[in-house]
Amino acid sequence: MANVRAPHINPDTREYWEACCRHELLLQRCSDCDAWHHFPRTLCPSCWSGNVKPTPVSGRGTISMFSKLGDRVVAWIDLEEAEGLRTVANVVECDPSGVRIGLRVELVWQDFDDFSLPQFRPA
Amino acid sequence: MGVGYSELSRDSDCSVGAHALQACRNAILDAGLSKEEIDGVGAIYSTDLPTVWPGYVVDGLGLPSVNWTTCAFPPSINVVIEGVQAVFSGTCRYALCYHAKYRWDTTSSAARSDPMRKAPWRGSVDGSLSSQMIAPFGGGHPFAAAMQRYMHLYGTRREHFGMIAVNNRTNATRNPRAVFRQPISIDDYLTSRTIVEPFCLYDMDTPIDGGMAVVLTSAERAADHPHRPVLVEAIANGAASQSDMMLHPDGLAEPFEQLVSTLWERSELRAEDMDVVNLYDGFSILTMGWIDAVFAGRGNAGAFLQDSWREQEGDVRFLGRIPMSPHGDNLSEGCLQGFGHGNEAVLQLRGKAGPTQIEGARRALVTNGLNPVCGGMVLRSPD
Repeated sequence: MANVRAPHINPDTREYWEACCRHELLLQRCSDCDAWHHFPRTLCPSCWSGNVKPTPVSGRGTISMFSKLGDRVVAWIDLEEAEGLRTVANVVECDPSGVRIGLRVELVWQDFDDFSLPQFRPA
Repeated sequence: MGVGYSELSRDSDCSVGAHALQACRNAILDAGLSKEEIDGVGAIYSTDLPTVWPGYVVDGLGLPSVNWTTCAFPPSINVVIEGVQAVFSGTCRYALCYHAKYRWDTTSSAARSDPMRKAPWRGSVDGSLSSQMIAPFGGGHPFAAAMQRYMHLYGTRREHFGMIAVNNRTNATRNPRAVFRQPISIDDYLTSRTIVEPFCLYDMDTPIDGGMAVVLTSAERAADHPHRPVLVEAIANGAASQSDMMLHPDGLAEPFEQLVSTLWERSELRAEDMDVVNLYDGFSILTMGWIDAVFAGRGNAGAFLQDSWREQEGDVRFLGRIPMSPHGDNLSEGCLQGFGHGNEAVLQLRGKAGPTQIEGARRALVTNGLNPVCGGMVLRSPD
């Protein structure tokens, strides 16, 4: 893939990207009401508690929609943990013509010099 | 009735978004209100980007019923003034107004060695503060993906989107201000260059250089002035509790329905009473979403367009009678991010639209926007 750049991190996203370097996909889950949310925040949008914890997800999901740009497919992936829990990643190990809405996918790590990206491939 | 702060510091370990959410949560709790009661959210455009725009707070606090939103130019008192106006006018009951700042590398030389302080996208709004969660993957085009998903869910076809593009272009052929006045057909639409699948050339608004402006006053004062006044019957915004534009570009129905239902609550008029509807067309998928919210119901805009389509003329008449965007809108008049939609409606209701004039137009609906920033008005001529 051409021109993949490390994300600029901020205090909300630092733990997320550090966990990615350890090949752990951790999304925020509220310890008080159990609600998941993504992208990472420090408050639970459901109950406003500050007790949100980075929590492992299975890495399994379904493609909800996607967009092709150059040699890359960017997909919006609905994760199996909760209705409405969604992330964005590339679809890899798949011919772009094989990507479709509803495709079941699983997590696979893509390593660069000083960061790793959580990507998804057909399950 | 409530004030809130986050913990102020030179070197917090806290993102600008987290500061905004903390302060807003604290203000709402101080006011003794619940998330359901907050119906207005106002922000300040930051002089150092990114701005934490109101959709971020709506999303971050899960506010379910927001129908007034604004983002004012600094200084911060300006958003409070707008909040006062919103409450005084009855546009919202409880206005949450906020601002948040962060010591970015663009403003503080001491920040340049701190990787946490690297401003995410130079010169970009990034109001959802989420651009960097998408950028490493190449970005994609969120609204192209949203169009794709809409077609998948509802069976809407490209021809239906083509009716929007062709309608607007047909109308623009009569508009001396429009930058594109060459007529196009559905076939032209279907065979045009793909930009980002499924967007083709005609699905995207037309960048131009230009300015537009409007002057507003009270009905009493307007009565003394030369033009026939156009009255603002109702105003509203709409914001959904999942408002991250990068993550939920397909979440159009909720904010659009929020806005439209608020307009009808504030007005005795309804969609079928309109003589003109100027529905936002930054991308044709947005217009599709507006047609759903105003007339057709979720997912039905394609069929509704088909029923409204006039093959001979190359335009639409909703409910057999109502034209859409007689000036051609963003897609053909030129993109001023929806300003033209309002101005054309005023000209129509004054009877001064000239070559694009719809005979006897007395009521107009204007909508602008997408998730999470959208607004709308109902305009009418005095009785």
